[in-house]
Amino acid sequence: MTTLRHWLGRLGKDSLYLVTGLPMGILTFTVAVTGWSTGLGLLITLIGFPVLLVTALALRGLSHVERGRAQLVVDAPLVARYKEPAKPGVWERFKSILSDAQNWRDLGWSLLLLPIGIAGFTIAVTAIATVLGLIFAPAWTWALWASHDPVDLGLFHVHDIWTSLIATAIGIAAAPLGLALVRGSAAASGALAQALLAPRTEQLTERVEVLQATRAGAVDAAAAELDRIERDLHDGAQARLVSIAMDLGLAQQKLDSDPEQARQLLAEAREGASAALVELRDLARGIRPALLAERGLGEAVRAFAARSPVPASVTTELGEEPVPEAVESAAYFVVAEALTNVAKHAGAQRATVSLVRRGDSLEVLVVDDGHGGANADGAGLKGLRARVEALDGTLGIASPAGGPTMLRVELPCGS
Amino acid sequence: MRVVIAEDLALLRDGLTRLLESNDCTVVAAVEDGPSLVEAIEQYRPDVAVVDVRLPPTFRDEGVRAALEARRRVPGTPVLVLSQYVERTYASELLSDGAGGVGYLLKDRVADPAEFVDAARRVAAGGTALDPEVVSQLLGGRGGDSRLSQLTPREREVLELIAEGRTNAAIAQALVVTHSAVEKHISNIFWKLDLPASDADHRRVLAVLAYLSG
Repeated sequence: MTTLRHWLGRLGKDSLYLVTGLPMGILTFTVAVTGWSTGLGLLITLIGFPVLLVTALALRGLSHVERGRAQLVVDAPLVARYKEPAKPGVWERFKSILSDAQNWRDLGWSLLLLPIGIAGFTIAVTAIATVLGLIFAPAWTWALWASHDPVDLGLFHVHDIWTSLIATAIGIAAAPLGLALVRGSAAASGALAQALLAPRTEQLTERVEVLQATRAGAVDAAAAELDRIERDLHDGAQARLVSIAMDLGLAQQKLDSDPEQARQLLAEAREGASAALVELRDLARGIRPALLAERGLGEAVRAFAARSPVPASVTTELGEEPVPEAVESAAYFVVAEALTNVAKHAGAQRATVSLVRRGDSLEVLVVDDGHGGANADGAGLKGLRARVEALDGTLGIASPAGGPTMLRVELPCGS
Repeated sequence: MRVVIAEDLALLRDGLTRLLESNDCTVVAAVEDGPSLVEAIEQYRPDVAVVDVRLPPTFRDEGVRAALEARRRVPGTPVLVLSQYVERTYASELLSDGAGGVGYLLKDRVADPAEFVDAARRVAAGGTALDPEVVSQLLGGRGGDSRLSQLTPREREVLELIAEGRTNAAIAQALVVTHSAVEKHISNIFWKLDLPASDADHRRVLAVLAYLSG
């Protein structure tokens, strides 16, 4: 049943695509031929330039419509990019259009769409009409049985109920052929549209640009992180150790002259050493929490939530398949940063954290009942975004004034 | 000895104050950033300023900049710079005005209060006190220099001690050799490095450093 519905849906989209191809083809062909011949003809009077410009822009719009129409038969999104004029001005725009390969491909499709549309329209209408006509022969041929000119099917004439039933049988047998013809034509036409209107290189270029941007973001995030660690060390443990050394040195100096002060300096030095240990431990936790390495994501997040000043409940559905280490780390820091922000800014009573493995990706959701209005461009969220995008993940935040705030991160886990 | 301290971390500022005061120094001002250091030096004209390299607001080399600025406004102010790391660039910059009275020590050196205060006094007296780390960086950075490579290991040791601001007597003591042996090493060094001999300790160091960083 579902396959039948699937095939009928497919047939509907295919035939819609093929049938609308004809009027679109007439339109694009007319605009292209009229525009270009008029424009070229008037070129000598200079009026040709604006005509060509308008034609090119009109064809660009029509190509955009065509990309949308092609989605009926092509699954991948059709993306095209046009050159932007380097400088403002009509002449610059004209030059950029002339030198843009995509523009010429658009023109090619506008011209090709007419013959393709005629062929597609004919194939779709003929195939569907023939198959339906045959299958439903008993319903309409009876009117002609008694006439001098009964329905001629080439091999035989339909002149009574039995011959009409034979026609139905032939129709049913031919249905798959008709279906295949429609499907094949639609697919071929769609593929040609895709090749001309949205070449694969364009998609690759776009992907490369996204990767470049996210990689730069990741490098920046890593550098900022190293900066922070260096600062923490410099102002924390290193300063503590200097102070301890100073206390010990003084104590040694005072050992004979002022043993009481020496004793106090030693006590201070010991306290300083404890503080330095705490600072080093916190710093190490900020780099890669021990629990994350030892017990995995769920436990580490639960432990962090338990320390959070705002009560946070954690639900996890991580499944059996292991999550890559980088994804685990990123997910952990997303939760850690989010809960820290909740405690600092949200004024929330409680928060919920959920980590769910959905197929090939891990979804992290942090929701709080605070007053909302979180700044998506703040330093903390920017750092998180860079971290997430470096793993090809996405980060979204919804924080209307008055709350609640919801942070949603999706991280792909595929290799 | 009257001292001005510039250090942004209260923990170390207080520690330094205590260390200096229990070794017969008077801390006339303890500030936490560059501009207040320059102000304090102009106001108090201390015998020496003890300055952390990294100060707010940039936490880069504010301390060095402020010290240079202070020495521009109050020429000859002795400055002892403290740092978690050594950077030969800073040492060269501080020494470049040739006025002497410059020290550059790792913060580690505060572990020996007597030695540290001694260094501060040498700087206050117009001498130099460069951390052995700084000196070996300065020397190590010029490993390709043919004239420097003519030095024997012992002469190199002597040169490092000179750069630290030691007197001939102190060098003799440190290397367990006679006074005249040290003098012989030093004249050998000057001869090998093409430097005319000169009397004042810090002038020797400046000459050496000018040569090294030139």
